[in-house]
Amino acid sequence: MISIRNVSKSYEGAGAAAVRDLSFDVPAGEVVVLIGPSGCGKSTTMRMVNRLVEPDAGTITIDGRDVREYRPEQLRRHIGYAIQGVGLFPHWTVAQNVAVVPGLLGWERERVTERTAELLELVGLEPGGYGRKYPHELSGGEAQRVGVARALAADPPVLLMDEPFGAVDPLTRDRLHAEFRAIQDRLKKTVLFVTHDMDEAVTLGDRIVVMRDGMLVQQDTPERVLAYPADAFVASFVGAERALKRLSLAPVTEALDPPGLARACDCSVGSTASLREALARILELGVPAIDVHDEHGARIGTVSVESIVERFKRPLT
Amino acid sequence: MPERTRAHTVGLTAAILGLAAVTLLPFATLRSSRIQTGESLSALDALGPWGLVALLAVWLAVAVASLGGMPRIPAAALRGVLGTLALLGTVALSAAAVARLTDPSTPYARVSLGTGAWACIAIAYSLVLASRREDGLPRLARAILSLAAPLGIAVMLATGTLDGLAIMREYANQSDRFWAEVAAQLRFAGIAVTVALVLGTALGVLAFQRPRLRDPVFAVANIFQTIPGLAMVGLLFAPLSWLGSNIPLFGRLGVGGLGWAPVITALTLYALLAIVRNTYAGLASVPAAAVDAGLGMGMTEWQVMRRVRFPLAMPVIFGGMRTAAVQTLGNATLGAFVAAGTLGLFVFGGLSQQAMDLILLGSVALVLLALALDGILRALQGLVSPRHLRGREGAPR
Amino acid sequence: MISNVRRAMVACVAIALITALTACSDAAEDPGADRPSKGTIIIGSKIDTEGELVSSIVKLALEDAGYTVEDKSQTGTTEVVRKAIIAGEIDLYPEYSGNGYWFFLDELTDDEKAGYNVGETGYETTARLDLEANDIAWLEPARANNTWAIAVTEQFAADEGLVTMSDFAAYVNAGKPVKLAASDEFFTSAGNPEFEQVYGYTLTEEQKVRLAGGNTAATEKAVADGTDGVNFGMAYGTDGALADLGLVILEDDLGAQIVYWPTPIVRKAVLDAHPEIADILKPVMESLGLEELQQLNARIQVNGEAADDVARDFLESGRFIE
Repeated sequence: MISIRNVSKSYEGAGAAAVRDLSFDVPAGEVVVLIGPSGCGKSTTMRMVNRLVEPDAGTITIDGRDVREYRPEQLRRHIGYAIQGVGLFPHWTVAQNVAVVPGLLGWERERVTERTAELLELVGLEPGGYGRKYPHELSGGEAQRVGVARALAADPPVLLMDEPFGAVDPLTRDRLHAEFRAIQDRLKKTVLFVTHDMDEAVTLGDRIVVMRDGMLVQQDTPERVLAYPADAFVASFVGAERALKRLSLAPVTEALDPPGLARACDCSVGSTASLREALARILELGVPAIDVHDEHGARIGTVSVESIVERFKRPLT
Repeated sequence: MPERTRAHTVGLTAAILGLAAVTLLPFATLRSSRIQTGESLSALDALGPWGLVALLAVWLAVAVASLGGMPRIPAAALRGVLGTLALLGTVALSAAAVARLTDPSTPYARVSLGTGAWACIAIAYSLVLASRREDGLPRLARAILSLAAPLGIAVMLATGTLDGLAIMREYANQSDRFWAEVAAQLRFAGIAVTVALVLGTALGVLAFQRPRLRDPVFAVANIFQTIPGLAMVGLLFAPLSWLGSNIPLFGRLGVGGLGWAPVITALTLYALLAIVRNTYAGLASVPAAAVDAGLGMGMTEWQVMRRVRFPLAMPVIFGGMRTAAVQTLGNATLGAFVAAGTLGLFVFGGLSQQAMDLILLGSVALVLLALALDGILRALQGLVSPRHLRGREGAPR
Repeated sequence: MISNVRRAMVACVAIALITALTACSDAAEDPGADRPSKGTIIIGSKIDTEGELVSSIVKLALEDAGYTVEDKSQTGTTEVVRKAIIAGEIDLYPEYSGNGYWFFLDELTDDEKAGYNVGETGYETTARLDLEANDIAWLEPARANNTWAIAVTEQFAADEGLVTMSDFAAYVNAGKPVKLAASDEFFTSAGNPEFEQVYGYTLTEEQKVRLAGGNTAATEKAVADGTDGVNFGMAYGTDGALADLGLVILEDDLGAQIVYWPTPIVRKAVLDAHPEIADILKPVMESLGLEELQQLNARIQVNGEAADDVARDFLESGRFIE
């Protein structure tokens, strides 16, 4: 896990410090999203973990060892790094791009080729066809997937990601989010993720750290940040519709009433749906309540506008 | 359905200019001896009626091929072929004219190509070059068009067809010295460019990595450009002479105020600017995201320089080298000022003797060398470009 | 993967190797390499026809006698060549005895200055002073006066009855049209000032056409073509183009000009090491008279023959070399 303790950084000539006495942890196997407005120091913080930026004060440790104990390049070869511009090397093929870190670590060629194919498949790119393409032949979404594959190539325990899904259209981005969650569920990497997009933070993060002017403002699970913003700034940053955002975080089973009489219409929703989907269905159908069924189709309860409101009244643990 | 086109402006312009050159400009010069000014002859007087008609016919054909209505690619190919014909025809017909215009009783008389003939050659070659760039022209056709005219001239030279022309008579008098001087020109240019390449890329990298050094490095490279050739070798005379007489190793190598030392020193200094500038620009043009990614993934600064920056900068750097090479080849004529020979010997010797064709021997040879060098380097540039710029999908390794 | 960088480096190394190889092969073609040589002499010359001719003659004569000659002819202008010999970059080059007047102008007595109008005395003064000042030895001169002169077309000379410089003075003073093409040097420091003084005429500015560079080939061509109304042109006594261009020189009947005898001059150190050089070149230079020089120059300049070929013919026909 990553441990950031009392880290500060100032730049000459800039008025205020970029990062001020920042402390937080990224627990092993979890995704922590650093979020805040432009210039709040989130990217700087991330770059201090792999020493692209050196802090003026404070310590950063990974699994107990201070990052300064390693040579910078050695450190970085064991940390996955994915950035907004992707930064694929234009003169190398996709396969060569993905193979960079394994190459730097001295893996044998066979192992590298295998691993490259494995990763391309993982990010949803067919290795045979894509391996030989050059970056300029890829679409935005494809390039960002290659970026993720490249970051995962040497199977690093830690990943640093700075708006890696930035420059694509919302539809592609949603897909990438879903795939990232799936990959993360499998691989359980320790991820420090930077973004300015609250929706992305809520979707991807196990924990959110809100920063402002170089300082930590709130640190909590996405739902608690949405439900209990620490101050007016966080509230406004999170957005006025935070309640609705919370809806997408909670599964429908949390607002279940016992099943009533069978209905005439086909008004139901699956048990894996979120409250947001349930509410959407309710509004769509124009009925006060709908059924919830499990994967076999059996009715396990109903959900209504009231039950949803009830759920929201309960305080979060 | 092959595309048809409207009138081709370049082709029509070439045709009009070519016709004007043949009819309006003096085509050849006849001198009673090599130092006489001689009299200008029109194309009709020089080539006779049939020769004139032949040239006119070729240019008219170019005009027809440029009027439009023909399918685009064949029309371009046709124009290229006609341009080659015009070029080779001008040269061949002029050579044939020598027999018409002179006789054994005037053994020292000389026939030279005049303004009109040179203009024809230049216009014809420009047309060939323009035609070979046409989109969609198959590679083989492109290659043929590039090489046909030079090969034709080479064949004519080899078979002695052109020996009657004044410029070749000068060559005949100087033939052993000529090739030695060509070799000297190439040798000086080659060595200077190689040294400048090593020095220049090092300086360019240095300027790039230490921003504070950038302005001084550029300023120094710039200063050399402002010193004219003669002045440069004059300035180098004293220090090089001193080095040659006082350091035995240098003396044995032939370092001195005259000879190869001032030439190569001057040429190297002149070539520096293009290479330094292009190295810097090339390195600076590498996408910042790629560099950040490289560093972030664990490449050392040197690995980033060697594996990311340099390969991506290579086309620009090579372009700088190309410029420097062609420029240096021309500059090498200043060898004539310091007893180092080169083609400058013929140019300046011709000037001092007022023998026009000797000057041309040196200058035309120089132009041909420069064109050939540029062509070779351009082909090489294609080979050293990183694959991703060559527009080929998934090139196999 | 063979990166393009690697390919580029291979290309550059190849180019470097090729240039280095041609450099070496060039050095390997040494004609006298099989015979043991008596020594190496570096010969230079000014960039003109006669300089090239005389240096070729000297080169071939010395090579025939067993020396290795490094040919650095066409070295540069007078200043460059003087600098070169004094610095030891070259060992020998053909200079003119009359030029001593200009090199040592400040040190000459009036008598010595007057002596330059006679070939022998001028030569001796120059030889003495150059040896003292620069350790340069003057060898046997060719007694052919390659001095400043004014040339006209044969036709014009016939029409106006011009044979000598006295005729020229009379012509000028009679107010007839004059356009004289010459170098700046001729008008300001040497050539015309002496003529004007001795023959008693003055040229106005409109009558002077100044051509940069001092090149008689250009001025002779100008008067031959009548460019811009030029009817008189600067020439040197031994110029080869005169006959071909149909020009004649106006005779210096009153001896106004300094005498310029082409002479091989050599660094004393080299002469001391190889004293026989003087003996080898003496008979050769003695047989080079005015007409001989003019004809040889003409072959190079008018016929376009190579200087070495012309020099070889001359030496062979005079039985100086095999």
